[in-house]
Amino acid sequence: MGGTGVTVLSTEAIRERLFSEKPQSRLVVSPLLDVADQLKPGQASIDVRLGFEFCLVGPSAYGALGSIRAEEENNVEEESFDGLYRRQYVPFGACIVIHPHQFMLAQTLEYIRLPSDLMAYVVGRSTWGRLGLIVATAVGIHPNFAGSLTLELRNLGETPLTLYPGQTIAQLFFHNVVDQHGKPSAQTNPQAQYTGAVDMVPKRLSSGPTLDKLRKLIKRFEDRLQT
Amino acid sequence: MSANLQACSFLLGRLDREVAKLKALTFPGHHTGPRKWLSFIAGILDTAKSYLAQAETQGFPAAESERLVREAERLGDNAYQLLTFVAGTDATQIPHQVVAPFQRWVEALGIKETIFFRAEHLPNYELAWIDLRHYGLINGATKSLQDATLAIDWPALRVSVPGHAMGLLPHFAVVGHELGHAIQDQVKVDLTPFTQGIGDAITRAMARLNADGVTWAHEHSIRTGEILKAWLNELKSDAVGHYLVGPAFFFALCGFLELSGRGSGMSGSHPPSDLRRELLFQKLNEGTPSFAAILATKTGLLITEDFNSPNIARRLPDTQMYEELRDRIGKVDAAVTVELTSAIAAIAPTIFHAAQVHLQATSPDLVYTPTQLSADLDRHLDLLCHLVPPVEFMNAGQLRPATLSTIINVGWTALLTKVDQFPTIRGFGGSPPIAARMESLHELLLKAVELAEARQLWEELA
Repeated sequence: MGGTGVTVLSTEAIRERLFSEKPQSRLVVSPLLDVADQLKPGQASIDVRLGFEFCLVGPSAYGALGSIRAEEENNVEEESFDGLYRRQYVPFGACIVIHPHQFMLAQTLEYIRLPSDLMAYVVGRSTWGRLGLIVATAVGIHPNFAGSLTLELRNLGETPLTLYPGQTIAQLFFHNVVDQHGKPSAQTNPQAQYTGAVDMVPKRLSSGPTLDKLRKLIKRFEDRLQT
Repeated sequence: MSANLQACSFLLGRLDREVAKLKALTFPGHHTGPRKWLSFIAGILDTAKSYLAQAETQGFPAAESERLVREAERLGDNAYQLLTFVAGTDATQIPHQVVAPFQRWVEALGIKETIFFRAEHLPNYELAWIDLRHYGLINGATKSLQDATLAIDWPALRVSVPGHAMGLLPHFAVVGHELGHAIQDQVKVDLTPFTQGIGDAITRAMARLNADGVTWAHEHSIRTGEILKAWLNELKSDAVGHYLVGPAFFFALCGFLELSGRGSGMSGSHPPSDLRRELLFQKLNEGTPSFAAILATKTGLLITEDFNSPNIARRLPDTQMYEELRDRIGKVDAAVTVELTSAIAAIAPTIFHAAQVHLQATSPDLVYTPTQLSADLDRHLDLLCHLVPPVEFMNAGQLRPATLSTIINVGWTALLTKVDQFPTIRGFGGSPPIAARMESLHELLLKAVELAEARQLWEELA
C-alpha cells in the first residue's frame, strides 16, 4: 500500500481488505452472495447487485426544486424532497420496468462501509450501458462511507428495460487515500465519523454555511432590484 | 328493481372496488396472508351479488326475493367488517424486512395455519384466531368463496404488533411470544402434581370473597379455570419466546411492558408482569455458562431483574393487591388472580421445561443457546459498533447468514452496552444525542435483517 501514484486495488487486494481482522480497516461489502462471481481474479473491481427498494418520480405539485428563499433564517432547506418520490419495494423474483427516459433511484443490495484509507468509484456495467441504462451519476464514494449506495438510474435507450433485484448492475473500483506526504491516511482515528445515506431521498442540496451565504447573496440581489 | 336491492347492489360494487384496491397494495415481504383474506372477502361479495342476481329473476316470488336481498345486505355488512382484519397489514407501518424472517419462525415452529402480520397504533402485541370456515358452506356460496375458504388454513392467525413509532426492531423479539400462543396447545403440561396447590389457591380465594360478601358459585369455578388456562398459556408463550430469542426476549418483553406503562399487568388474562420478569430472569441465570454470565464476560453487563424495566410495578402483599385489583377487574377476578399467583409460580418451571422439550423435538435449530450468544457477540458486536450490520459470518470458510435471533440479540447487547459509543451515519462534529444513535442502530439492524434474509434465500437456491 501507499506510494505517491494513483493506485487502484486489484481483486486480490480487495479480497484481503474484505477479510481484514481489524474492524476499523476492514472493507465491508455485504452480503457477497457469490464471491467468485463478484470478485473475479485478474480484475480490479467488485460487482454489486441491484437492491430491493426503488424511489420513482411521479407527477407532483413541485415547481422548481432547490429554490432558496432569502428570508428564511435557519439553515434548513425550504422543501423536503420526500413528496417527490413514490417508494416501491421489489422482492427477489419480482421485477421493475424502467421505461425510456424514466428516472428512478435504486440501492445496491450490498451494504458498503469504507475504511478511512479507501475511497471508491461506482461505475455502471458496460452491458447495461449498451442497453442505454445509466446507473450512477454521483460516482465518488468517500472514505468512511457507510450505507447502501444510492444509484440514479436513467434509461437513455428507446426500449423499456426489466430490472430484477439481485442482478449485478455496477462495479466498484477502490483507490487508496494518502495524506499530503503520500502515506496512507490514518486508519484508526477514533474521531473519524462515518458518513453516508440512511435513506435514498436527498435531504439537502447545500451545506449549512453555503446555504447561509447563498441566502445573503439572494437577499442582496433582491434588495438591489428594488432600489 | 326495488330501492333496497339497488342500494345493496351499489354497496357491494363499492366494496368490490375497495377490495380490488387493497389487493393492489404491497404487503410486507409480499406475504400471502392478507391476499388470501382479501380473496375470501371477495368471495363473500361474489356470493352476495349472486343472491341479488337471483332476486332480480323474473317471476321469482316476492317474499323470497326480499329474503335474498336481506341476506345479501348481511353478507355485504359482514364483508365490510372483515376488512378491518387486514387494516395495518400493508407496508406503511410494518417494515418490509421483518415479515419474511417472522415467516421462517412460523414455518420452523410447525405452524400450518394461514397467518398475517399487521400493525396498529396501540402498544400491543397480540395473536388473534379467526375461524370463519363456515362461510364456504353457506347456501349458494360461489366457487370463488368456496375456493378462497379452502385456500385458508383455518383458523387464520393474525399477529398484531405496534405501528411504526413503537415498532422498534429489538422489541420485535416479543413476536416470539405471540407465535408461542399459536403452538400453546402443543406444549403439554401435566398439572397433576400441582392439583393440591391449585386447590389451596381456590380455597383461599373463596375465603377472601366470602369475607368481602361474595358467596362462591359454580360460575366462579368456571372463571377460575379460564384464568388458570389463560395464565398457563401466557407462561407457555413466554417460555417459547425465551427459547427462541434468549436474553433478547427478556429485554424486549420487559422493555415493552415498561414503555407501555402497564403497572402490575395483572389481570384475568395475564399473570403479574413482575412474576413473568422474575421467571425469565431466572432462566437467564441458569446453566453453565448462563446467558447472564456470557453477557457479563463479553460486555461487562451485569443484568438485574429490573435492569430495563424499573417501573414495572411489583406485587403488593396479597390483601393490598386484592384491594387494588378489586376496583379495576372486579372482586372475583381479583381474589382468584391474587391467590393463584403462588400456584402458577410453582408450575412455571414445568411449563418452561415442557416448552423446551417441544421446541427441541420440533425444531432444535430454533433454540437459542448461551453458546450461540457467545459466538454472536464475538462475531458481530464490535463490528456493529463500527457500523457493520450483523448480516453474515464466516463459518468453515463459508459465509453464512445471521438468524433473526442473532440480529436481535446483538442489537439488544449493543443497545444496552454500547449505545453511548455508537456512531451515527450522519454528521460531522459534535456528539450526536443518544436518540439519534439508537435510531442509527435500529436502521442498521433492519438492514441486517433484510440482507441476511437475502443471503438465506440465495443459498436456498444453491
